[in-house]
Amino acid sequence: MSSASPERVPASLVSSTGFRIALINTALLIVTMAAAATAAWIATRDLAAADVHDRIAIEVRAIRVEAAQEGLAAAAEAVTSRAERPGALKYRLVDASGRRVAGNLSVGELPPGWSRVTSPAGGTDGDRRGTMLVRTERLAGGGSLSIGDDLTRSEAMRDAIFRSIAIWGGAAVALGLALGLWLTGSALRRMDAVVETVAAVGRGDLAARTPVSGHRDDIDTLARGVNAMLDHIGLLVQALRRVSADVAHELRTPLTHVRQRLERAAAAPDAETRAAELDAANLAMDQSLRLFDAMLRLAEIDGGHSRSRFASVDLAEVVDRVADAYRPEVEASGRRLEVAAVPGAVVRGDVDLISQALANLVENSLKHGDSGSRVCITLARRAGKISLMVADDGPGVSELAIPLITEAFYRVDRARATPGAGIGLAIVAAIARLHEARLHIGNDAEGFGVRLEFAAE
Amino acid sequence: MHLLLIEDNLETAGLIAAGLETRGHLLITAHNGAAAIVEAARARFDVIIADRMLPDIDGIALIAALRHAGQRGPVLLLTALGSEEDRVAGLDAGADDYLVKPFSMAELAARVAALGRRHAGGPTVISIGDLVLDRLARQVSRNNSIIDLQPREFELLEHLMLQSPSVMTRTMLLERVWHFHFDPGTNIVESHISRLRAKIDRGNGPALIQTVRGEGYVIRVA
Repeated sequence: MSSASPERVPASLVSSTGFRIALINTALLIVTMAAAATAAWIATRDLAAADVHDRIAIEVRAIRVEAAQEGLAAAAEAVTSRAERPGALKYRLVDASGRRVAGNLSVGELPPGWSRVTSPAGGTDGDRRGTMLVRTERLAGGGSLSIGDDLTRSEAMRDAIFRSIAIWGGAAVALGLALGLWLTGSALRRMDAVVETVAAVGRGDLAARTPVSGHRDDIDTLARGVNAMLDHIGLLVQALRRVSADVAHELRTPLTHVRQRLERAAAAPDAETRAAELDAANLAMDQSLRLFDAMLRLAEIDGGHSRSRFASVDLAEVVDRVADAYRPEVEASGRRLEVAAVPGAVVRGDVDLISQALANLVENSLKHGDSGSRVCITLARRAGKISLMVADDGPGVSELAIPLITEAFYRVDRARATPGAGIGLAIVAAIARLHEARLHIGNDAEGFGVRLEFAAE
Repeated sequence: MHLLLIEDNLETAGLIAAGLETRGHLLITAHNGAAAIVEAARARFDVIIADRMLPDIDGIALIAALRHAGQRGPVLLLTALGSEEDRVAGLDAGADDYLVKPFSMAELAARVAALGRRHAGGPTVISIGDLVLDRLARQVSRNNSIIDLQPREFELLEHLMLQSPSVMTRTMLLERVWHFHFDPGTNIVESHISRLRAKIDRGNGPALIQTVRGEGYVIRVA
């Protein structure tokens, strides 16, 4: 395994983020349910106990009143009748001599106040051992009264609640885990597809794309993002391959000429022929160097040419200079050079680069507008912007080609009749980008025109 | 002229030295910045030709060091193809001219000649044969009759006459007359020269403006 191409480690279910999140969720669920169960347990216990407590206290008061007003015998009668009611409390009424006179509470003498006693096995509630809450009070005429109730019922209720929480909680936890596993598994499979796509592209398969499920979730967003990125990379690589091939082709032609000329110079019969061949070789060499220079310049401008040298540029001066330089050439081709420039059109930029952009545009019209009668350079103010335009009344460019002609080496005629051309407009476009100027290319009734729109300084 | 060449590539240095020596210059070669500074302390040079990229010192820093060593002569910086930034940085740092590699020997020789002459300062009135150019009055006459020139035609002629009898290359004219620091595809200089010829030479006796094939243009009495 080399460090340069890291192996893709297959993602395991347990180590996946999704599963970890599911685990954490489940753990949180367990903790929450345990807390809820504890709270319910405490609440039911206290509530049941309080209820029993109140019933006993009321009953004790009633029997005491009976005993105080009507005597022990009447109290015993009351106890006996009350003890027979369904769901009755347990009673123990003892006279002054300690003899039980009524009741069925099977405990011995208890100290006054509240006490908890464990009812014996096989006691009042059959086979259950339960806890009883008992209130014992001395009676005014001697003797004592104990009234108790089984807490087992409230405990049973509490247990039932607890059990149901346990059952349903357990089910919820199990369901949560299962659902988490299932969701994680499916997310993991989709993530695997994304990872597999990226790995495939890494291996050189630029056509690989990751499937989009249509769920419109985050994985789809990621997948779409990855696909968009891959589309863009694909275009860039394609453009790079095309430019590389074009550069090789463009350079091969003049370099082949250099070689042929040099061979012919070496074999020249006389000095004059040799000199002519060497001149031709130099010209061909210049042509390839010019191409090299143009490409490096394009790369330099596009690759972050410094804006630190930007200064105020008077475009009227640039127009005057460039028009002056090209006027004889344009006129020699049988056309007129028409210049219309407003004064005071000052922009922020690099004067050398703007001059080059304008020169490239004029050259372009010189080369391609050959059947026309004029080349126009117009410097004007348009809607708060400064517009620099070069137009000709030549045949123009087909509408389909317009978006393409700013690409390096694009030629309207792929015949490559004019070597070295084809990069001029790409440089203009790069210079426009550097100056944040809008580049407008189009045909109109008059012919073909390229317009640069600068922000006024 | 007495020249100092600072170039680390031995083959390039050898070719440049041979080319300049056949043109009658006396040349000393230094292959790194340290050697250049030693040479600079030893003698005064008319023109210094320095590579922008040296193994031990940056060309920009080298210019400062050379000035510090007492060299007042013009410096010609050799820069790499396609590095516009280098050119501007070099000129900002005090270089007097630049030349992009790869260049032709004729181009280098013409620029060295121009630098040597510029350093000497030009006369206010230049005359070649019966052609007279007055730089202050901005007036040109041949055979005592005034020739009407456009401002840029005047400049073109002025540069040619200042450089005479050396050759002015196309690139030098593009830079100096039109401030074009790029190579236009069409030969716009040729069109301008032929217009100038029409005004200066046509019907005025022997032709003064001559084309030197593969090099450029020169104005001299044939």
